[in-house]
Amino acid sequence: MASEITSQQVEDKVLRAQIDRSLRHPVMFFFTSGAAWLAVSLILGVIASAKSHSPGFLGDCSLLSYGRVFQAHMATFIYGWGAQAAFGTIIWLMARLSRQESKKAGVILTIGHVWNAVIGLGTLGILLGGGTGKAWMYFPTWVWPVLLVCYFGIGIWSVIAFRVRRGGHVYISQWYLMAALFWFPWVFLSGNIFINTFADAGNGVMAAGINAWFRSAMLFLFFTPVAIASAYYIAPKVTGRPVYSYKLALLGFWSLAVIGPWVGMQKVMGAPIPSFLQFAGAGAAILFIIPALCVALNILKTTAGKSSAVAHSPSLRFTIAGMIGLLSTAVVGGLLALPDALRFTQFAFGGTYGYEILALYGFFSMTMFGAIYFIVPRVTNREWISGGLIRQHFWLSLYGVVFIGLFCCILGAFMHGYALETLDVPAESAQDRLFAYTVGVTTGWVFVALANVFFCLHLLLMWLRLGRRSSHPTLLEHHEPTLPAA
Amino acid sequence: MTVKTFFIGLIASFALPWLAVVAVPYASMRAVEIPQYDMAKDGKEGAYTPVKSGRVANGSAIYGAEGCAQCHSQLSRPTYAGNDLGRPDLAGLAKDPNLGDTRRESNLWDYDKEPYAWIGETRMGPDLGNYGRRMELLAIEENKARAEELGIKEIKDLPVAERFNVENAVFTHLYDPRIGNVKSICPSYKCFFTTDKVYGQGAVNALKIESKDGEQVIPGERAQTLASYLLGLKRDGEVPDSMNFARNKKSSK
Repeated sequence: MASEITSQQVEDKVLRAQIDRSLRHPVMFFFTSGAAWLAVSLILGVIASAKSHSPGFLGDCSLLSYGRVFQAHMATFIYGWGAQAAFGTIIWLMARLSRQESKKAGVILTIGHVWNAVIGLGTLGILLGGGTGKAWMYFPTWVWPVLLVCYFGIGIWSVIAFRVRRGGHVYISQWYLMAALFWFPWVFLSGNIFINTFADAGNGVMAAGINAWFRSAMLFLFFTPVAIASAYYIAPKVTGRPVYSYKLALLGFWSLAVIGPWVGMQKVMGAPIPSFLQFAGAGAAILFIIPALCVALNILKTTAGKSSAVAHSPSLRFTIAGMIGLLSTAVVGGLLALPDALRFTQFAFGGTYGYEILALYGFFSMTMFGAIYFIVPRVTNREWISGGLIRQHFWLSLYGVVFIGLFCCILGAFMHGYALETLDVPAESAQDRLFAYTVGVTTGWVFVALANVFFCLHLLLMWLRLGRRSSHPTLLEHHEPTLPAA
Repeated sequence: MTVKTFFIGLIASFALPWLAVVAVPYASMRAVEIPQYDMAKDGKEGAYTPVKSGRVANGSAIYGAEGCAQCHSQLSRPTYAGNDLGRPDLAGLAKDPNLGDTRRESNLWDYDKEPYAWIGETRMGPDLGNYGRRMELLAIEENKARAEELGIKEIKDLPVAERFNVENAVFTHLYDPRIGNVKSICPSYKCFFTTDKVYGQGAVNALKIESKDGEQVIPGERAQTLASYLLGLKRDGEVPDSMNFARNKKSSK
């Protein structure tokens, strides 16, 4: 007898299809426009990095001066790509886990367009010299309130979906998503209000400190939980196994909630702000290894012994790479924040930038790629066209981010920093050392940019509904037949 | 875990650090007590109010918008955080001709009048906290050298036309950093300058660089504001005894 399909399973399949269908347009829009902004960001990143070792690259046009291009690169990476990848993942994951179709797809799609328009104008503003210069808040000051209003218009529906959820038990991913949905506005609003709106009312040095906290809080309390939620969904789904330890999952969540908000102000160690702020930041940055370890361990144990699944499934492979990225971020971040190391790495090339790229690309983006490779076939009802394109995306991304992480975080931060700190090395020769590392970083970005050419192309084809109509998913390796044909 | 416990936990775990690290420090740093000189220890009375020169507010905004803070820091860290005080010209001047060793750690009033302190991301270029002082010293040395060349004994007798023009030096750096230092990776801000025809003797603040015959390069508004801000970066010198952490501080009687 054929395997029994229960009516419950049929109902589930229908519900899943309905949820996917209802969210097709906003999700595909967020992913495709996010990928487009990623491409823009990577081009700007290559230009910025090239200018840091060859200042004459692309001439002296003011729109492309290093300071402006770098700001635009980071701004588009964070708010153009990062935020939109997160939004697409949040709305789909929450709808699926709460088993609620979305009826507000039109609203979300409209607001998504507004988000993109604002980011576009803001980026132009930066390149024309209107940026603020403040890290992770580079856009001209009119931009952030509009982004915050847009966010509410996107996020509220997922909160409502959770509120009216069906099914008794709340899954760990839903806790992470709810937390991210609440942390983001609190962090974004307070950071911008204290630093931009009430800039003249406050103290300039404290503003710099709050900015350092803001960057860290955005990373740990928005991007991190969204990526973790995605990993906790994909790993069990693709391997067909339950999460290794639910207790470990809860420990990971609460340790992130308790430790995460303290991190950040170690970036301004030595500045005239209260020293407990600096050291609390450093200590919490080191303690971040705890939630990172809980999550990575849990996910890796869930997929342990299923190496064929990891090898074959694009979404799982990217997700596992993202978990390794999470561990690397936590370890490298902890190393860079040790006060004895911080004196070297604080102002060293790559001490902060390299760490942020490792976190934003090596961890967050790789996990988001995993989510995208999982979600897009389901919302478009087509399969990815070519395993080869996905493979190129994966390996070039990996090479690129390892290059950047190596040249920035390790070599750059410690070698350049050591020269800066050693008093018998003249300051000029410390700066001479930079050349090798900046060239290394440019090379890394070129790899990553190439990787994402493949990704953007592939995603565009899927968006145009040119994917394969197939009953089986696109896998990364050929299945060797284990039975003879006849 | 119920939704109620979740929210109680979430709010508690975020509110405490947010208050402790963001809100309360923001509020209390708004009105920091101004340090006072002490008659017994400093030999004078009064508030510590270092005077800022130059166009601080506007210059600071341009400094930020152009991303200068990405490559330049403005912080002299105390010894627990770095060796900045050991460098000869980062935290002040080790050999100021009149004052001797003026190096000190940065304090809160160094960043006064700026809504955002440009502590900086990296040191791909030099720390600029005492850029104004280094340029002052450079001017003295250049003038001395020129006076010797011309056989003039005192710098004050050096004609104005022969004196080292600090502002012009800053403009030249902003126009093309590779003129002063061929290995510099600082971006050129040629967009801050205009190239005009020379009328008569030419503009007073025209750059002294190679340019086409009959043409001169003149700094525009942004260049002048930025140069004024940069030359005002002087964060060294005396502080009240209560803020003085120098090793060679004279102990109070």
